[in-house]
Amino acid sequence: MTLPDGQEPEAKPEPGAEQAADAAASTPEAAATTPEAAGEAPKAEKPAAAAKAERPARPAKEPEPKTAPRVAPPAGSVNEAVAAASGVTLGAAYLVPDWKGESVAVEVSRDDVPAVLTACRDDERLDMKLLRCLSGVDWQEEGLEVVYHLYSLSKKRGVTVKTRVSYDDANVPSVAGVYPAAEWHEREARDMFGINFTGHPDLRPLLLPEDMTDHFPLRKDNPLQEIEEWQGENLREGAGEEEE
Amino acid sequence: MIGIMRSMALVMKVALTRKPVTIQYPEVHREIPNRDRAFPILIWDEEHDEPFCTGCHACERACPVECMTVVMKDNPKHAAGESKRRKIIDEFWIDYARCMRCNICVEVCNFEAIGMNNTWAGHELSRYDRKDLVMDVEMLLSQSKDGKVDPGLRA
Amino acid sequence: MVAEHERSLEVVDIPINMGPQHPSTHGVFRMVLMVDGEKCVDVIPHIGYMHRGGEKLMEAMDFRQGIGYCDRTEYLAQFSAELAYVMAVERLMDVQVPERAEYIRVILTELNRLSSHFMFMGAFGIDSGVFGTSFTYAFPQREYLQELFEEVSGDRLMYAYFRVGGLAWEVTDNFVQRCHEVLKHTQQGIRDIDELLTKNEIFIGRCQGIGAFTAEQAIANGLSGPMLRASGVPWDLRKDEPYSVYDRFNFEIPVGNYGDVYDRYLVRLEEMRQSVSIVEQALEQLPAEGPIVAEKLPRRLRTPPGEVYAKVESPRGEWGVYLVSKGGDKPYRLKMRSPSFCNLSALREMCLNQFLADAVMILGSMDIVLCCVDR
Repeated sequence: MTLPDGQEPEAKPEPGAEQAADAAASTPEAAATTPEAAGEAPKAEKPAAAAKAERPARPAKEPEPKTAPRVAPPAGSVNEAVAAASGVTLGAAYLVPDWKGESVAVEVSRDDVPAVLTACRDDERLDMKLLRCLSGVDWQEEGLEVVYHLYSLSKKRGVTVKTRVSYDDANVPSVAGVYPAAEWHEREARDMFGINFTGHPDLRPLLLPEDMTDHFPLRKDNPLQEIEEWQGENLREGAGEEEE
Repeated sequence: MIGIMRSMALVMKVALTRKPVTIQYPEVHREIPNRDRAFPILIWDEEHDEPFCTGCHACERACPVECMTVVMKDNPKHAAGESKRRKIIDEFWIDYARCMRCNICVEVCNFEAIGMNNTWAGHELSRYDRKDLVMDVEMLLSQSKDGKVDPGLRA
Repeated sequence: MVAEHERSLEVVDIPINMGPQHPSTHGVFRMVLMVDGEKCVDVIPHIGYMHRGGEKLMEAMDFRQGIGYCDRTEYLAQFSAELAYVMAVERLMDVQVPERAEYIRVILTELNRLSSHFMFMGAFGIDSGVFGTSFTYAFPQREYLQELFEEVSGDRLMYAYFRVGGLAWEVTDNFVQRCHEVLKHTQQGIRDIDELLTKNEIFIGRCQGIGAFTAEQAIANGLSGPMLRASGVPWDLRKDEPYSVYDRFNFEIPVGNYGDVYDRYLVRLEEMRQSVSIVEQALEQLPAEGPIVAEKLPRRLRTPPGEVYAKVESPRGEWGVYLVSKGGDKPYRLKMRSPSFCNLSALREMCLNQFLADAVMILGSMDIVLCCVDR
């Protein structure tokens, strides 16, 4: 794990609240209104306002970092082999948690993606024939990211290749020619994030309707719709009747 | 050819020996396990003759699909000294059409006031209109009031 | 210019639409097959009918709420999907899962694999023209498994039983005994299916030599699971990157020789036997007592910022969860790498130059779950 020292990600439950009910079963808000023992009511009926006023009084936490600290991979890691095989100057390389241990992630500029991935596939030292996964990530101000998870069946190791593009120029060279498996993944990423994979053989919408080419649902600027509720006030007023 | 014969022999054998596993559903109900999760219901406190629920909104906040609405009020019985609960539910709606029966509301409840119905009545809820599936507090309490469910459930 | 007599013999490829509501597509899946006579010259799959924006929805759900959605995505291997999700969160939070919980997870996941493969055996029989027979043999056995899951988790299909750090609640008191009972039925079921289909000449004639993929093709197309192993690649995450406690069990990875539809069936059948063996070993090693949830879990699950790609071997292949967190109690981005999606993307290449009737068999051999394709 690449956690900075002293960082406590979890909200500390209040000492009294710890005994009540399941340990893992309550929100902090609920914890604030929880009595010492479940079932005994008196303290539970603290007005919500009082509970809210109490919360800021907790020991001030250090603000959580928004990004994970980056730990450079040790010498001899797979990123050096990638650089040597592709002859491309790679961007930052760092460790990302993998199941048991860490694996290496490298950042490359988008124009180098096909070269790097071809080298990963063909070079004997890497032999990464399998493209596990291709994901798009929307980093808002920092642009869009495409993440390639490669894996070598013979060497039993993988590498994560990342590339970033801006919103205005969201073009990434397609790797469908290198890994046929990428074809549908790229179509999906185009649907969801609007990343244009140049040179893709067939970039029609895959999961979305065929004419939905201007709207990218998984981008962060598309918030989820409010849920329409037929409860409480809405139900009493007979809201929703006009639908019929 | 031998393979086909063997297949047919198996079919013959099973046809003669295997007992049917089907039951005549609407007349006969399969026994359902004690842990069965149908839809959430509110539990009635026999001792104080009021619901356990104090309307603390914990379940409402934890619900992944936002199918609940809780309204809290001052407990009149507390003023009369009959109950320890200072607050009690006034209104409670659960939209069964939206509920995904994930059991999270039961887990977060500190008063064991909500449980998943483990009877057939919790499953046979077909209605003609989706709005009829929005259950109010009387409907949610009725199962437990009538003693139809095991109040222990899985708290 | 085409001469008049040549024009009269002109051959046109005919598009044949299959789906979205077709019994052989196992869900709402549509494909347009361009046929030249009886041969497919092009296949255009259309997916997305079941797209519900699950990844977006899960970004708005916290780490406990998201578990319920995993079930709904992969509704035949729910425990595998849940396991991948909770594993991703556990890895980011650095939670140690108690041993007993790990064993119960493995047992349930393997039993789930059995139930999923029973579903495949039944449905694949229908595709291949055995009609209801294999279905009626596979389903009663699957029912025993479902009853066990219902007893343990409380629900027949949407278990929502795994939690970050362990399990939601303790298993039933007679869990081990019930597992042994169910395994007896399961073994009977595997024998029945084997007897019914494996040596059946009609079935063999329908399956052999169809949709064959070489190992290179299979890897390049990103296949995983039984599809990949049928092509002769002995790659199984349970062996190669052992997660949970899989490194403590002794089991084999069946591989096929030809990579055709029949091999995929055989691989799955053998996998079921191996799963039975894994469950038996796990039941033996299962600690009788112990916690089922990790200690010192915060009430509100929060991960440090970071990213992780967790993967499990689901009955259909590698189920991956790419979880990006910016800190806080919700995922920032969650990508579900569904094996059905990746396997289905190879459909076109697999169907080319095959007979029209065999396209159904090839699709059936993929054992896709459409909810998991579209997410």
